[in-house]
Amino acid sequence: MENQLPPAHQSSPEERVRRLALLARIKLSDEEVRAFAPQLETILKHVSEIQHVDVGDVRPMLSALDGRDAESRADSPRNADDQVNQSQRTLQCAPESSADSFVVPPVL
Amino acid sequence: MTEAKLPHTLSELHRDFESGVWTPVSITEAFLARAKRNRLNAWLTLCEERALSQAKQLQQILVARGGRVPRDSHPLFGAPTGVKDNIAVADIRMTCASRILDNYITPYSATVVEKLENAGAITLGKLNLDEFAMGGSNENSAFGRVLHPTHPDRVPGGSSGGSAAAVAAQECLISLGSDTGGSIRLPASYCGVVGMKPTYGRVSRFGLVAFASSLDQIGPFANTVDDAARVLQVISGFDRFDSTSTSNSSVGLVPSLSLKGLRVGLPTDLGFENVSLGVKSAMTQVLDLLKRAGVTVVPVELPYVRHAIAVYYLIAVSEASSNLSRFDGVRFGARVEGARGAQSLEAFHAENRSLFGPEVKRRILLGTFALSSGYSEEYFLRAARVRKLISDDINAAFSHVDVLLSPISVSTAFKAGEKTQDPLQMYLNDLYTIPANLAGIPAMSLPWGRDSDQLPVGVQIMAPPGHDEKLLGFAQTLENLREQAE
Repeated sequence: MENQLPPAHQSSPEERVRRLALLARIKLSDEEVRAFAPQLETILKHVSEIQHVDVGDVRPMLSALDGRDAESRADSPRNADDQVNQSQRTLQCAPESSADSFVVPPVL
Repeated sequence: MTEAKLPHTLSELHRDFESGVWTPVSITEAFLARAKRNRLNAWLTLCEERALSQAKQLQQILVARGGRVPRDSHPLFGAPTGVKDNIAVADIRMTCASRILDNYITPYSATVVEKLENAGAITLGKLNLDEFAMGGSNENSAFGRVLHPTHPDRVPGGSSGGSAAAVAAQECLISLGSDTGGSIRLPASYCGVVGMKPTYGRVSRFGLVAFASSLDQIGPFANTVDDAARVLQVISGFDRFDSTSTSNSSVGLVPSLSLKGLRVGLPTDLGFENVSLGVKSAMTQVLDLLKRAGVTVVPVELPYVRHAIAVYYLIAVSEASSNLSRFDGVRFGARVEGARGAQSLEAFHAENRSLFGPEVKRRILLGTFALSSGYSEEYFLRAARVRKLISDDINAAFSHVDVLLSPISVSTAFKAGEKTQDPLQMYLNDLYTIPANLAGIPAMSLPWGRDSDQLPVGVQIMAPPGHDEKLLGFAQTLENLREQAE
């Protein structure tokens, strides 16, 4: 699959960086790829130490609230009477927009 | 005519208003003048007109009340305030110190900013930071590094370097920063001011540009514990626009804490044998004072804490890679000129996202790796499991101690450029601060003198989750002890 990373032994550090950049949708220069490759290898080597920790059947902690239920609110907009203005203000944040859309170059 | 002495605390400011030494307008003008000189490159945007307009309104309130400051309704009345530039102030440029948001004007204010301003604070402007809050030295800003307030060849710490330096240099009285792995506490320590990260969930993140959603918290910088407490009381509390905001979370009154019999835990895994002389000396002094005041010092073992850096640099980067995927040049932010010729929408995104700085790119790539198919189980999820072990260690410790004490860092402020060549070296500097974010507990840096180079030192106080008031009470007592000893 195009989006998957090849296993480590099948690619060089630089190839890995290029593939990650593709997945992350970031355009990197050749110079950046050369600079990042050894840095990422060093960092990954360091963080890989957690592979040796015996985690038993501990469940992943995905939030500092750790199991506490998040409170949901009603699905009602803030400033409900100001929706048109809010939409316009949001559109104005874009580099290019029309009356009701964000504008991007044609990519057909 | 020489300018009157600038107030150092909210109490002094309010007394000065009532005695007529300063008015809301004159104090705003005085601090704005200092901020405009921007000696430390702490400020990215100043809101002069807006600030003066706020000041004039407050002046009218003061006059209407016969010169009495309405402390109950406006506890931060007239306080010249800086806001880290990853926290939204409506209609003001917000860059996150990144070229990708160079021209971005935010259409709304963060909940914390609304609360500050309703309490009478005057927002002077937006403060410099490491790009997207990623860094420990404020050398990663696209708009230049922030200088240390007293030693210009050194770093102020990061990522909230501007927020800490501006308070230390009296360019504002209080400021807001954000802390994901130590980004309030480290610069507070390096710059010699109070900086606190609250319990996760007590301060709304609505309007804070997300870096790592399960770790980020907004918190105050101030010159005293009392002022930090007042800011926290204003900005904390449930917010229905932040789904990680906890109910009953407003920070209440700070208790007067008796030290006699209090149990202070010293984590042996966050010890101070191999730290700089200045840090060791500060820790030793603090412990001496505490013991003489009747505290029981208890060594505490946190065996999984040695994995904290690895865990953090997997979880934080993973969350960041997800959070920063929104910056693609479509709905907001800058576009690269060359992006017009892109052959696909993905290529268009990729061109625009080349505007990120190197540290941000590095962390997004790492996070992308940790979350990718075939690796996410062994990296991201495993890190989340070890996070649980670390958090359990810390909570278990609190079952037999009241607070934890540790250094903030292995040294005082280092020289600019010293750690920029090796990203891992910079990451390892976060050893002492990261555990509090992983566990979601409140933590503070309390200034404790200076080392032999006259560089400020801070000590770290941590408390159980939800016990921010106890932490503040302990810190206040310690601060009083420090003043008596001076």
